[in-house]
Amino acid sequence: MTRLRRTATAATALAFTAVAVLGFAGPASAHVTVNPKEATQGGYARVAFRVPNESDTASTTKLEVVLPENAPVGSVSTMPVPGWTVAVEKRKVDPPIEVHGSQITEAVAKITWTATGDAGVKPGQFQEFPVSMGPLPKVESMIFKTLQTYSDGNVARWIDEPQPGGAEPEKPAPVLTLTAAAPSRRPRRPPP
Amino acid sequence: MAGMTVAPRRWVARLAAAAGLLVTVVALLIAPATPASAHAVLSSSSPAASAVVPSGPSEVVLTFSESVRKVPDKVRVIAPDGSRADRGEPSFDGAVVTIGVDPSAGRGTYLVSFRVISADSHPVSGAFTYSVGAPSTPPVDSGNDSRANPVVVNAVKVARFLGYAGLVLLVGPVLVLAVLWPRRLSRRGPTRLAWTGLGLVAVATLADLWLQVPYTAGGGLFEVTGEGLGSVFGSAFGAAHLVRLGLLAASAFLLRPMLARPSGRADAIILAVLGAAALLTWPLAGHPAASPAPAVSVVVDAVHLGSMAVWLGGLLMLGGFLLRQADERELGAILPIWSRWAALAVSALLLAGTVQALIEVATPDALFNTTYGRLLLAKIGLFAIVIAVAAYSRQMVRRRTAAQRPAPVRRAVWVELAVTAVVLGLSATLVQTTPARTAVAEPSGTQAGLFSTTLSSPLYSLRVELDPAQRGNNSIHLYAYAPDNQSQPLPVAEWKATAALPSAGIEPIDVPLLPLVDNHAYGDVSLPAAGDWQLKITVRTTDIDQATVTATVPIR
Repeated sequence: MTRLRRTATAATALAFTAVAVLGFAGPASAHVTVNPKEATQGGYARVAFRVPNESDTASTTKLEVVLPENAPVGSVSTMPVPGWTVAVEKRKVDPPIEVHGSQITEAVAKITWTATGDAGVKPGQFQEFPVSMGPLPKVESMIFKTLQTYSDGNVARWIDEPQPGGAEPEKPAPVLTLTAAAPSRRPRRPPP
Repeated sequence: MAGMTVAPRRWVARLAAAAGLLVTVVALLIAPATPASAHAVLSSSSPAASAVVPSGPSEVVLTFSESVRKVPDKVRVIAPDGSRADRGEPSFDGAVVTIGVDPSAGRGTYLVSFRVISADSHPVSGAFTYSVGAPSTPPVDSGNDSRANPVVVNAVKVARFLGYAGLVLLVGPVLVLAVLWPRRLSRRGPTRLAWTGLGLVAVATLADLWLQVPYTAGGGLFEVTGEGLGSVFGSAFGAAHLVRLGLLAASAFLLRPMLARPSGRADAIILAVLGAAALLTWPLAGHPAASPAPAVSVVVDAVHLGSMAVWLGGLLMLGGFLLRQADERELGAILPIWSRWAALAVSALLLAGTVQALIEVATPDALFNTTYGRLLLAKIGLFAIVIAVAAYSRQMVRRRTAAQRPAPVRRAVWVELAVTAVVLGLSATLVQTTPARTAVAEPSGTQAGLFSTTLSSPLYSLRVELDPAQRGNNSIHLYAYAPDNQSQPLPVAEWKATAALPSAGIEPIDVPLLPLVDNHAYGDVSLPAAGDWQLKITVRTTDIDQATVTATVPIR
């Protein structure tokens, strides 16, 4: 038991050292983000999910973006990314949403990009995955919970929702802030 | 009987005495064969108390602090739906009790209730729960209450007290009649007192035997079955009491001639041996037999009891008969002798009592924190009063004033007797109370030192238990439930926890967590300092849903 614990302590210390020496080589805020960070309610937007590679040895081989359940979007299309295949998962929407006068009962639930061959995001690189969508729902923000899978099997879960106190969580989910369409109304939150 | 000559009657008496002695020796050889150390307490179990196990065990194992004996049908396992989950007869092997359990009785919380008899003849009952899969509302044991009936408990104390009182009434008159009684005075009063004492001891012994059945098996005063009596007779407790009855019968034969007229030395010696053997049956049936040093405890307790009987019995004779009836010349001869005896008896009493207390109480803490310890303190306080009064009487005897003016001595003797009656009552309670050395070891119901709280988030509610919430190693148990329904277990995909002490500048320490079942995780963490630790727990319930909650845990 003692030996095991000692081994565990040693391993932890080693891990800390490794993180201290190597981990901070990349940018400090190497989070998965959505860019731009702001869009207008009711409009269409082209956003890109920017995915940095935080690992020093493994590549990012898969990205899963979950669209918020409380804010369905009628139309979602992806821009092809060389070397990556994309799969779109839909879900039933009840009640249906209206897009350009027609009722839509299905909305995109999840978008999955998978690298083919050695197209993965290598250490020290980042990749953007562009998406066009609209009309954007009338909510203050959309939270895109994102899972980033590495070639070594590790999964970085960018799923922490913004915290009320404003403190930054460890793995924040990308957030798209939506402002009201009417120019007379000021946005409720100043752009960050 | 009137036609019988003195010689054959003596012969019969001696034969009976020898037979009694033989029985005693045999019983003494058999009885202490079961070594033991205290009122048993449950020291561990499998599954552990309050544990959550992934699948139903096929047996529950109870390990006690010492060997225990079975009470028929008093070890039970109740399934979450209230039905009996135990299968077959539990097996008893020394301190380990193994109960077969139906492994397919379903998920939920099981109740294990038990009642066994520890080596010192006291019943031990208790209960704990464990859960299969996930905790549910604990079932209720619908069977008979497994605690002893209060009427029975008090009746046992009364019987013990009567036994002690009888012993005093028997020993005092016999001793004084045999050695100190002036020939001039009538022997009728003391003789009657001695027979009363003998009768009381015999009745108390029979009552003890009878009461032991409901006392150990539970139930009312008259719920005594043949099976129950059989198991009591088969125990060391039963054997000791039967031997006592045998010795009483044998002594009765010797007592008849001795009480009637001054008798020879041989009879006195045989009677003394019988008396000593009978005295040993008290400790053999009680706590001393189960102490960490049984031989010492048994002998010391017998000495304690014997010196008590000599001293109190003598005092009673003094106050009741001699100081009233004897003349100055007789008292002048008797009192110095008695005074020496009393001093000897009291010294023996004190010494034996101290040794006993040291063995039974074990630690100074236990003296103040247990019922046993407090009763003992009360007994010591009262005893100090008695000693003071006794010292006063002895002073008067020394100055030779007692024989001329017996009235103050008589008053002092009565005060001594009154206080010691209370002391005897305390002792009767004390012998039924768990010795302090065990009481302290017993786990308390409230589980002092356990920190427990429930945290909530929109995703889940989380029960957090930290044990013992003190500096050093702590074990953490986490249980996740649905946010709106705390009895609905919630499967968890991933657990994470850190512990930090910001006030001491201790940065978050990772707490490695081991998922036990899908809503219960366990971890060990070493918390190096006292203070208000921040325990931050992240629980992920699906691929993409997680929430972090923080608990402030005071660590002593």
